Amino acid sequence: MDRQQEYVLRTVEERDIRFVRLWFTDVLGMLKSVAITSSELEQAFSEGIGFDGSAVEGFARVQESDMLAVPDASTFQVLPWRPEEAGVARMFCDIRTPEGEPFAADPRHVLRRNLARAAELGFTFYVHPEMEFFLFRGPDDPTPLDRGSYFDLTPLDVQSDFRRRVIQTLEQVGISVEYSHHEIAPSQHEIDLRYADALTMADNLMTYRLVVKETAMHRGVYATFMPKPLADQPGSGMHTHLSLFEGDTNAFYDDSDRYRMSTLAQQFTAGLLAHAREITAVCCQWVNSYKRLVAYEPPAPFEAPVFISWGRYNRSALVRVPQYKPDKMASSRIEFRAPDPACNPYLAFSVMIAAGLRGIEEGYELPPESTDNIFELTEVERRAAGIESLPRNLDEALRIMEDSELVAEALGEHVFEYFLRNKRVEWDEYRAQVTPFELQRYLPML
Amino acid sequence: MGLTDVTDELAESGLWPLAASDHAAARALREVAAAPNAAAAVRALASLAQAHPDRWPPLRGTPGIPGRLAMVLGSSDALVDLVTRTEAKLEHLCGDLAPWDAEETRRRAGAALADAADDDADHASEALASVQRTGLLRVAARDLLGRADTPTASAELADLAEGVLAAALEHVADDAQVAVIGMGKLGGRELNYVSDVDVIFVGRDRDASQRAAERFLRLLGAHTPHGRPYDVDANLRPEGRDGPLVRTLEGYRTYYERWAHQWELQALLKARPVAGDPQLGAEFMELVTPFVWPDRLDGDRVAEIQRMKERVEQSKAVRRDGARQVKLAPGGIRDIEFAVQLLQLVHGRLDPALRAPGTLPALRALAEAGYVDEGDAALFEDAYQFLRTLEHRLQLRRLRRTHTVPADAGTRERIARAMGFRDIRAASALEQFDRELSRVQGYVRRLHEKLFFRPLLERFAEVSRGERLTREDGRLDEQAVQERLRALGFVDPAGAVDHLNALAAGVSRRARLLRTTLPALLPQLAASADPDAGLAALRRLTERLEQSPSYLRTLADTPPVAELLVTVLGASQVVGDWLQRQPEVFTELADLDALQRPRERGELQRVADGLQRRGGGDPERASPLLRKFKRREVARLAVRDLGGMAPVTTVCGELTALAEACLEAAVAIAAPPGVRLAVIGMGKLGGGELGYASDLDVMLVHEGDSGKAAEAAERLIALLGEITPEGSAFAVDLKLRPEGTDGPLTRSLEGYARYYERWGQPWELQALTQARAVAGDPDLGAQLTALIEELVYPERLPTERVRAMRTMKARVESERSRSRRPRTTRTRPRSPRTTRGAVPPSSRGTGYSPAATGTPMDLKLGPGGLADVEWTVQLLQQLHGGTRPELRRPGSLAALEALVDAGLVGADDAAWLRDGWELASRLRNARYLAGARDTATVPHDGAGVERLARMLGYPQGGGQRLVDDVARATRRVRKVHERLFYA
Repeated sequence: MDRQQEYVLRTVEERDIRFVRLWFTDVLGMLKSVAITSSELEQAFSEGIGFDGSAVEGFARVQESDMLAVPDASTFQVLPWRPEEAGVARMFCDIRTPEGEPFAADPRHVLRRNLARAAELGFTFYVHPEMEFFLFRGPDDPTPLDRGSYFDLTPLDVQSDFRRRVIQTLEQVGISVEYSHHEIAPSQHEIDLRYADALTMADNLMTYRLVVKETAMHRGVYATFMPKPLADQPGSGMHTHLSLFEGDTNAFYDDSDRYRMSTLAQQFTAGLLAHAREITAVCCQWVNSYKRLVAYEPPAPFEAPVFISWGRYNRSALVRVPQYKPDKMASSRIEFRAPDPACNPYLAFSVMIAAGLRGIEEGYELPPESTDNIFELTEVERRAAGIESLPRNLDEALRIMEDSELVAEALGEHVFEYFLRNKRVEWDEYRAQVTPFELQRYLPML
Repeated sequence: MGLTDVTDELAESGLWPLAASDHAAARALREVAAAPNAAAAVRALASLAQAHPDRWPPLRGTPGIPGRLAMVLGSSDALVDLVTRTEAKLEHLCGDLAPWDAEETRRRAGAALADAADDDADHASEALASVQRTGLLRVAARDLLGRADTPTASAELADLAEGVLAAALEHVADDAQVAVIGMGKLGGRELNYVSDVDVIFVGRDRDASQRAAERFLRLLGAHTPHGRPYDVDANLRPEGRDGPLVRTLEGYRTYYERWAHQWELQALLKARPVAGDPQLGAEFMELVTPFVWPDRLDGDRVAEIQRMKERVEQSKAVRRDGARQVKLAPGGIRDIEFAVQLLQLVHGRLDPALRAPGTLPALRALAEAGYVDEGDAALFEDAYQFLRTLEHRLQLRRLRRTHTVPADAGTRERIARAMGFRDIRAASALEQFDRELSRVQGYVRRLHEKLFFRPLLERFAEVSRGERLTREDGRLDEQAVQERLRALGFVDPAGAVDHLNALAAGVSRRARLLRTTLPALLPQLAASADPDAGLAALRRLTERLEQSPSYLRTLADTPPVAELLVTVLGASQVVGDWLQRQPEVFTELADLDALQRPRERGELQRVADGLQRRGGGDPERASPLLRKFKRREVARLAVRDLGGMAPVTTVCGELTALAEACLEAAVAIAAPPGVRLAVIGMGKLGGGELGYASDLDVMLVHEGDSGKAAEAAERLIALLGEITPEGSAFAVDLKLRPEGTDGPLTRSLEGYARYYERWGQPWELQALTQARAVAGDPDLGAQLTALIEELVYPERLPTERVRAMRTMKARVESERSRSRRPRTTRTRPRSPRTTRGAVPPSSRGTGYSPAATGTPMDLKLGPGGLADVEWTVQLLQQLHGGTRPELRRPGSLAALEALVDAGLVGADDAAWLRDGWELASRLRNARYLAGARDTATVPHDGAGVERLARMLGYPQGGGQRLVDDVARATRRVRKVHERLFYA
């Protein structure tokens, strides 16, 4: 027990909190919650709360299925969107086996394990994701609520008030927001969280998705993180800015490099690029994710990061190195643009770290920067330049991941197997669908 | 460098004007040349003379001074820098060198602070740093000149820190009432030359104290031209870095009552007020005592102590080349410190005499109160002093925080000399030092035996069997014995006491011998898969064998044998039972040299033939002899296996050889005159890869009267397979013969040829890849295998056979996965976002997964199991064996190797298949020895996995790692299988 836990107990008492929700995440990135009463809290801290793991996606295992959820007191927050009287609070949990060992399939543990590897090399891992999402009338009605576009302001952006509510709520639960704006597509929004260490950020993203959905619900609309809900509009991405710190020093920054990129940053980027195809299934885990990752789409290309390359100004590159701001060496970072906001952030961050660290450990060479707009190159030109593409669909992504020892190691065997199995079933079900495209095109013709 | 060389060099150095003729100079030369590192000393003196040209001439003429300077400066380059930079320091070195106590240091530091510009913090820090360096120089000089031994020097270093800290606190405290509590090595008064100084703060009121503590840390931590005064570390405070720097007494009480981790309470073992308000410090100590020494030893505390013990054990895992790390390597300083603390925590609760913060005083107290053996305590004190002295010398050389003996021989020699080693005729200083270091480390590695267990056993000397241990003079009473056993890993300490009592109490020869033997054995047992069962087995075995002339003597006189015995007993109850039922196996176990040798087939055959002859051809008489023989040999092999003497391939090979010898003998008994009979090994027997649990798959071929041959076959099966009080020898299984259980037990050569040509199924032909003549008439056997070879390896393998094998394998898999349901029957609610409607895993050709489904991992037929390896290899053999005779060989691993040599399987793929096969086979063998009925599955329960992991040599808590390793190995095998078999 420590001061954090003491603080939680005191707050619960002082603010008359009746229920505490214990949150954890299943392998697919869905938030799970067990509610306990405040009187059970002390026991939860000391022994954890038992539950049946076989009821959670990916948690069934060879040994007994009983698990313990042990709340992490440092994540305690009172939930602001619940009525004030008889308040409700939440904490994220670590999952343990009955023997008290961290449970291998707990995504939080997977991330912790990868962060520990980074820590062994002396690094702290910071992330800053740009989360995009759409607002619609309802889960079964994807009609945009506005006709706004990039950075548009009133009157087209009728939902700026919605964003303000979301931001307020996030700040109330202790999550700092960097900025927010209307995105390029109608009814598409972006709210960026201020950078944080990877574990905190993954927790924050779980909260973020809930806050956005709850806020929308209260306003009678529906928010979705589905990567590509509208075929003729750009999809929602989760461009992720990454940096490694050694103590207080940004290890990605080097004064003497012409891009201000340290050798570490170059090797990390090289690792990310070299293993990009292997980690795509985790960063883009749904059938629908790959509809976002389409390079050509009339009339205008969508800037989807499908080609494995990097550049500073190049918005078509998979990894972008944001322009260096003088006097801001702490902000040196790279931006990985493949992930979408429907990923499991714990696992996605895990594989990004693993890929980048592999680059550092093995001293990968960074390929030359791509300055052309790759979308405008022909297939042959791209091949000549040695530019590969991300997998085109979930099936291809899974086949590549299946052969990746890197991903197996990063996720652990349990999660690796479960993930592949679950996703294969998803792909098989998808394959059995007859799509509107087919009906429209073939029915009149064949 | 010899004496004359140094003298010459000195003469040429110009340090003395006229070396040879000047009487004083000659004396000085002798002094310097006698210094341990004379060559380095000459260089040091030269730079000294250059730095202080005025001071040098008077100093060099003062008797004793050149020698003293050479002695100190020759051992430490850092001290040379110190005295060449500041003349005042040099004066200290040449002065009286009386020790400063903490008060003296405080006074001097206070004066220096007062002299420093009043409110300029940097100068204040510099003044403190300077006093600290002076004090350090004095301690180092006293140490190197032999005026202070290592414990004294360590205590003086702690006093120095205490004095500097006290002065610093006075300087910043204003009216804040605050006390500094020393922790770790400062608290224990056993400080190093270069080390963090661990402290925590207690204040009467938080705010003023907080400010004082912050100023205190700034003052001591500031960089100055001399470096920082001290590296003060306040992170041992409650909540570490995140906690408030200062707490009130009440704050500490609340924290320790409600929140403290066990290790935090253990750290308080070394707490001691070192600066600030003495009254407050005393109140703090009064406050924490009941937390460090609770009335009751609860489960958390025991668990924490066990973790501490594991940390000691895990340091064993440090690789050999880490032995130069004298602090953390096995047999290092940390081992002794942990062991002493562990004993303090176990026994200090009831015995306040043990509550000393320092390692050496605590060890002394433990010895005086009888918790450890006097002689052992003295030896460990020496070892500790030696290692700490070495640590001091290492740090003094450059005043760096190091604990590693340099690899380079030259530097190491300097260290050796600074440690007091000198060249003698028999050995150089360096050789002596190296030898002594490894001797000390080797001794310390036995601390579990010496400090933990020996005193326990001594207790039993004083009681006769049946009598209970009673409390006596605060020594190890029954409760103390049980608590110690529990802390050391026994789950049922009362039971363990009972066993120990039976084994070692009283005045019998057995008890006397075991009292000296067991202390060395119990550490091994305590670290085994099941310490309690192992001890019980040892007791039973001893009760059974104590009358045998050699048993006790061997245990007492041959420690490696005794260690092997407890390793085996702690790992497997099955083997324990075998040993007990067949005491003659102990004789085999006792001859370690012979035990190292694998049994050859010929050797086994000679014994088996002898037994068969003794039976005179009478099955009734021969059969029991063969069974006994088999059981003895398997027990011997299991001992080799568990003792790490035989890798899994060797185990399988020896089991095969044993089976062959038994079959051969059985055929000799069973075959009637006029009938030739040959045994063809199939399956794992044919492949030479038998496991403990394997049946013998065979086919029989005869020449002569078919009726008589069939009777002989029945006799053969009964002879080996019948279950009798001696157990069965081998279960013989003929189901792979033509027509399976419906077919005749044996056929003629022509019968086989007719059958296979007309009716041979693809799967039967595949099974024949493992066919090998293993016993009986060799010519007949060879004829059948030749016939078989032609059938199995046609020049071009028909496509239908390939397809049939693939289809068959796929069917086996889908049937298997249908028959095995997840263990948990509770329905699984599916979130709407996830996939709906379960698709049977087998609907996809690719891997159905073992680890994440809740289905037990099946090492044999499951995905990535043994069958996947075997089918892959056998299909490739059949595909290519027609044109490449070198591929036609039974045995998965042997054939795999041939496939690699032929370029048909890549080296990486082969490595994955081999690793997977070996891990699965090891696990199956281990499961058998653990008494599992179903050897093909990994256990369901956490405790079972944990024990299995221990048997396979994983460290404590390695269960999930084992599961992960199995999952990885099977996934890889599966991947290769799908690529090579189904492709």
